[in-house]
Amino acid sequence: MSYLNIKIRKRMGNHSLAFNLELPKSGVTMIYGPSGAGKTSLINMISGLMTPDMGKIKFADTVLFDSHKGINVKTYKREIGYVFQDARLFPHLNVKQNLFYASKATANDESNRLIKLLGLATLLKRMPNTLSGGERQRVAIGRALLSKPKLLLLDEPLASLDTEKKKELLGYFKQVVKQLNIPILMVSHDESEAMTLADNLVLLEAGKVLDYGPLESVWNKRSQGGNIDNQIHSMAYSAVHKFDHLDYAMSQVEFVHEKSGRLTGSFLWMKAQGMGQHQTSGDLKKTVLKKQVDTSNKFRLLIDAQDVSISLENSSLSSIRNRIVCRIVSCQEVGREQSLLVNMADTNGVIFMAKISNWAWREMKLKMGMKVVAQIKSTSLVPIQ
Amino acid sequence: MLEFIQGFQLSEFEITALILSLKVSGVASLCVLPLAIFIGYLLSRTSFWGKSLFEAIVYLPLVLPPVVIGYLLLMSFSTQSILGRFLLDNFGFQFAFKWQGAALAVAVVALPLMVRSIRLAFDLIDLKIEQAALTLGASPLRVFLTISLPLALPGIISGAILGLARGLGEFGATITFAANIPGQTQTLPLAMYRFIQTPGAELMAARLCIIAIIIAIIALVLSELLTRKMKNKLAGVK
Repeated sequence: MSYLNIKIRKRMGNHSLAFNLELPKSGVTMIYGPSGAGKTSLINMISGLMTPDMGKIKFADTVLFDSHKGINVKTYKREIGYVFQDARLFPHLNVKQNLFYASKATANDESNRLIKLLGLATLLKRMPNTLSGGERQRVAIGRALLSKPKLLLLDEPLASLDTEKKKELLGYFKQVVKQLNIPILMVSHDESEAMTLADNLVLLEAGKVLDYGPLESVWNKRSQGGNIDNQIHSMAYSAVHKFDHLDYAMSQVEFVHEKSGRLTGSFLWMKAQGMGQHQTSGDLKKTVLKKQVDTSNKFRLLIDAQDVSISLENSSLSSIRNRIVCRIVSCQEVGREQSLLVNMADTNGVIFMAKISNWAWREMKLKMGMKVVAQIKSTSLVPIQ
Repeated sequence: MLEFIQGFQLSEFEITALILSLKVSGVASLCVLPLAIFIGYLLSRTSFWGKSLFEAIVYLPLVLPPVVIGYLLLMSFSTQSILGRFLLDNFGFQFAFKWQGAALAVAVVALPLMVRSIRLAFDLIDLKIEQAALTLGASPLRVFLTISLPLALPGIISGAILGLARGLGEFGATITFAANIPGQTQTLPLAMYRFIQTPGAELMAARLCIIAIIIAIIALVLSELLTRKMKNKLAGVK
C-alpha cells in the first residue's frame, strides 16, 4: 500500500531530476545517494519549498502538487515537518519559544515527554547561539515534531556533528522514531545512519531513482550488482541477539527474515555487545534452548564482502569462528579489480557474499552450485545500533 | 568663553526651534517608517516588472539637490497645483508653509536612507530561517511578523535613527517648500541660517550649533546602544 506517490520532473541548470516513487505509510525511509544526486531537492519538492516543473505529488488522500490541474499546496499548509541539516533555529527566540513556535504546538504531557526524551528540559531558557551543534539539532527535531506533522522530512540532520555526538543523537532519535506513528523520510549519505534507522531505502543517482523498497533487499541488490562505482560491497541483515558466552566474551545472534520478521535458524558469533541477558558460564546448549528471543528487538548487521572468505573443507579447525556451509549461487565480476563477488546461500536460504580474487576462484576450482564454507571473522562484525 | 558657557540656558526662541525640529523630524520619521519597512521588504524579497526604475525613484532624493526636492514638492503640493488644490478643497488641508510641509520635506529626504538600511537588514536574514518557519505551519504574514521583522529590527532602528538625524538637519528642501517661518517651519538649521544672515548674531548661531551637535551625538549613542542590545540578545548574552 503506497502512501506517498511521487512522479515529478524538475530542471535545475544543467541537471534534470526525474523521480518516480511510491512509499509505504509507516516506517523510516532513507533517501541514499552520492552528493548531487538530488536528495535534498526531492524532499524540498515534497515539502513545497521547491516547485517541480511538472508531475504530481500525492500524500495520503491529499494532492499536494499537480501540474496538470494547477494544484500547488503552500508549504505552510502541507503539515509536513522538516528538520534541516543546519537546524535553522530562530536566533531571536529561546529554546522553549523555538519548540513551541508552531501554532499547533501545545504544552501538555505529550510535549513534556518529548522534551524529556530529547533531553531538552534543562535547555529551555537558553538562546540558540549558546547551544552546541547536537543540542541545536535536538531542538530542531523537537520543534518539527511538536508541530504535529503528518510526515517528517529530515535532511542529513546528523551530518554537521562529530562521530561522538552523532552516536548520541542517533540514540535519541531512535527512541523518538519508535514512538512516532508517522512516516519519516530521511536524506543521508551515511550508511551507518541508514542501517540504524531505516526500514526502507530509496537509492538516488544523478537525479534518478535507481531502486527503492525494503532496506535489505535494495541494499543487497545494489551490492551484488558489483559494477557500481562504490567501493564497499556489503550485505545488510536483520538479526536478534540470542545470548552471550561470557567465558569468551562472544555473543550469538540469529538472522531474521526481512519481510516476514521470522527467525531464519542461521546463527553467527560476534564480539559480545552486552545487549542481552548475561549467562554466567557453562552449559551452552541449555541456555540456547531456553532463551526467549525477542524479535521486536532487531538490529542491523552489515557484513563487508571483504571480511568473508571461502574455504573448501569443513573438517579442520580454524581460528575463524563463523564457518557456514553454503552453496555458491551466483558470481559477479567487480569492475576492473580482478576480483569477484561470490554469493552463497546456506541451508536456511540466508545469502552471504564474499569478495575474492579471480586467482583464488580458479585455483580452488569453484563452480556454481558447489558446496563451500563461508568464513566470517567474528571480530569484524559490529552491530549497528 | 566662560560667559558663553555660563549663559547656556536655552532661550524661549531656541526651545521653540528645538521642539519644532524634533516634532517635524519625529513625526516625519514615524509616519514614513512603515512605508520604509514595506519598501525595504519589497526590494529585498520580491522581483517585479519595473523594479529597477522603482528603486531609482525611491533612492533619487539621496542624490538630488535638496532645493530641487523642495521645488518639486512646491510644484506638487502648493495650493496652485492640482494635488494641493484637491487637498485644500476637500480636506481644508495644506502642506506649504506649515510644519506639516516641513515634515513632508523631511519624510521625502529621510525615506531613501531608511529604505537602504532596512533593505540591507532584510537582505541579511537567512531565507532558510523563514523557510523553516513555513514548514512549521506559519503563514507568510506570521513569518514576517514573528521572524523577519524581529530579526531586521536592529537595521530598522538604525535606519529610523539615521532618518531622524537626517531630518533634524534638513535644510534645502524645507526652506524651499515650507519657508522659514518662526514657530511654524523654522527648525534648528533654518533658525541658524537666519542668525548667520543677521549681522551680530554669531553667538546665537554658535549656540544653535552646539545644540545641533549634542542632539546628533545623543542620536548616534542611542542608535549604537540599541543595536548592541539587539546583537547581545541574538548572541544569547543576558
